[in-house]
Amino acid sequence: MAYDRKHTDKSQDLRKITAGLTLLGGSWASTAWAQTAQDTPAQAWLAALGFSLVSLVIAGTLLVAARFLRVRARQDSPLKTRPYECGEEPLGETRIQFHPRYYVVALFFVLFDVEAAFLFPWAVVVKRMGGAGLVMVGSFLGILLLGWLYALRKEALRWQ
Amino acid sequence: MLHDIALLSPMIILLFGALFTLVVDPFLPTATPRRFWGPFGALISGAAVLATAALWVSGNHEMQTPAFAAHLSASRLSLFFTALTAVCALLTHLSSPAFMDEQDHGFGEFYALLHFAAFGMAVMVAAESLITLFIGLEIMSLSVYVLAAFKRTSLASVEAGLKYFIMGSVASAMLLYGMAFLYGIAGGTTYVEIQRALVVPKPGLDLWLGLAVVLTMGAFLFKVAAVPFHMWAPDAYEGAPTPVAGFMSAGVKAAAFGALLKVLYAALAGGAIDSLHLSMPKMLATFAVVTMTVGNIAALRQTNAKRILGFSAIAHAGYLLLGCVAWVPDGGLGDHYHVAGAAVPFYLVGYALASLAVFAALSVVGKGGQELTGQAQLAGLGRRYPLAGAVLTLGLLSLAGVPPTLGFFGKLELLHEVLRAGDQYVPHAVLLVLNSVVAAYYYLRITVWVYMKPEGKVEREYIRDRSLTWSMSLAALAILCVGILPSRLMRMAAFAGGAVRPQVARAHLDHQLEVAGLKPPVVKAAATEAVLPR
Repeated sequence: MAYDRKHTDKSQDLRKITAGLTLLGGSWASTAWAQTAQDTPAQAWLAALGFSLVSLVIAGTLLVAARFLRVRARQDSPLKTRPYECGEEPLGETRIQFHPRYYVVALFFVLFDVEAAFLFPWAVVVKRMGGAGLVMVGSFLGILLLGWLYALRKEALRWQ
Repeated sequence: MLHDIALLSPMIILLFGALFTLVVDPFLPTATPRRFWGPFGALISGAAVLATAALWVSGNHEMQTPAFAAHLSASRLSLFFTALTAVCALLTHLSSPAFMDEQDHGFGEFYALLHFAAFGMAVMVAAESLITLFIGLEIMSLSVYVLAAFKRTSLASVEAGLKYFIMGSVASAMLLYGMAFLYGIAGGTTYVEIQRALVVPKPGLDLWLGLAVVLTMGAFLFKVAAVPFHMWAPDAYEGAPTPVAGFMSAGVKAAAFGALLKVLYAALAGGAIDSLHLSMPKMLATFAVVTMTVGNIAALRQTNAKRILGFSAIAHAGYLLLGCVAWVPDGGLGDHYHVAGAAVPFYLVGYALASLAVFAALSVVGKGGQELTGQAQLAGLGRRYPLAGAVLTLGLLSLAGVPPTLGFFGKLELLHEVLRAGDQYVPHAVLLVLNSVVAAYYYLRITVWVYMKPEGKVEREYIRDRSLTWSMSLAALAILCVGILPSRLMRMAAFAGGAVRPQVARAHLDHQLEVAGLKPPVVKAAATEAVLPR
């Protein structure tokens, strides 16, 4: 079911226009006022004050505007009880199952991404660290590879 | 370098156990029962205990022996707690195989996760810096979350794991936040650096320091299930598979208190923290008293033994927290070496063994996928399965603190130390005693169910298994034997408790030298020394 004019109150158009104009005018006026402030310390504070006022006006206007601009569904309309998905049409059921294979792939990506992040610093000092460094990085890689072996054996990587 | 690796040997052994189990298990045929991983895990944990003992016997631990640029140490405190957590893992490895098989969830990963958790605990208590502490804590926590939810077909188990996980992640976030502030104040993450930064009072930092302390302590209060953050504990303990619940209440608590002691006394105590000191011990002591009272009173009305033990774990967290606060009188130095500081490690040994014994004995009712530990299900246990009934009773008596058991001496020592810490703790000590009396009621109530309630017409089956028997008997024997001859363990606990004091003393000395215009000896060099050979 589409977003449907016949399910909303039609008497709201005038109020919407008024509220929109108020919003635009209010923010323009306060911004213009704030721009008059110059750069001496006292006036810098004034600019800050002006900025806060602008924010207040915008936030307040938005709140007030939302009250008038919102689409009001009738009490008996199915719009009232429908899940809201950013204006999109809801499609199918809410409770669906996601296949976890993307999750496993993402997990592996993160794992080996982090591994690379640890390998690059080692690559920079590989000569200075010598054999000890090789052993350390080797055991690190070894542990990660064991994890990979486990996942492989558990068929976590098979794309069914 | 070799010295560093020697200090790591208990952790390396545990990690080897974890990786070996994890990698070999998928290569075994699916039909093979996985029971043997239990005794194997017990062997690995036993080897870790032996390695820790070897480290304890060798080497000079009077001062800390920092390793890896002062991020890990094998001080007596670390070693004591490493051994304790490895013993917890050992007993859990022995008590879980039969139970998990009965519940149809005896997979190899279970044992691997137990190893990983024990490894994380060992890292956590050996940590000498916030980063290492956090890594250890996360390794432990993530493994235990999964262990709690391991019986994934049971709603209660999944709920337990989920609750524990969500609350635990919030606590981890708090801990990280507090650590960030501490790092900002101290300019370093090792405990030595933090201690040295805090000894010198800096004006204007009190607010940030207070924030850091509150956030860090909050995370620890969560981990030990103390009052403002205790709500997860009963649900998690009730839903988790019984041996896992034992591991959670014994091992996780021991590791968390070990790390808490180090953070409190190796990093925070002494110096500038004492400019707000009067509020920090007061805050923790108040939480401790509230924790024990809430835990005990809530336990009175429960009808499920596992849930009762969940609340009892909260109450014990309160006792131990009071022990931590009262460990050192406010000044940070207090009365020097004698048995001071022995109470918390000593009490933890008694508590861990008792709760492992109780949960092992409770797991015998898990025949055929059932896991009900209410009054009706426990009735007749004492007659039909005398060993389980006796071990359960002994463990409960030890938790209540009745004389021939280890729990009695733990409580005695704790009370002694709280009273010695100063007159301001007298009301807390009185409340502790009153709480112990209340607690005796619900512990004995479980005993009444087991021995004195009429059994129904149904003939109940119990899990009878050799390794479970071993686990129960070992725990019970330890409770009795060490309870009768506690002095050796007490001396070890005193060594452990004394281990962080030299650091506090050193920081104070350095500060006094600095005030006197002398240059303090450079201890920091060891902390900031790079690992790289030049």
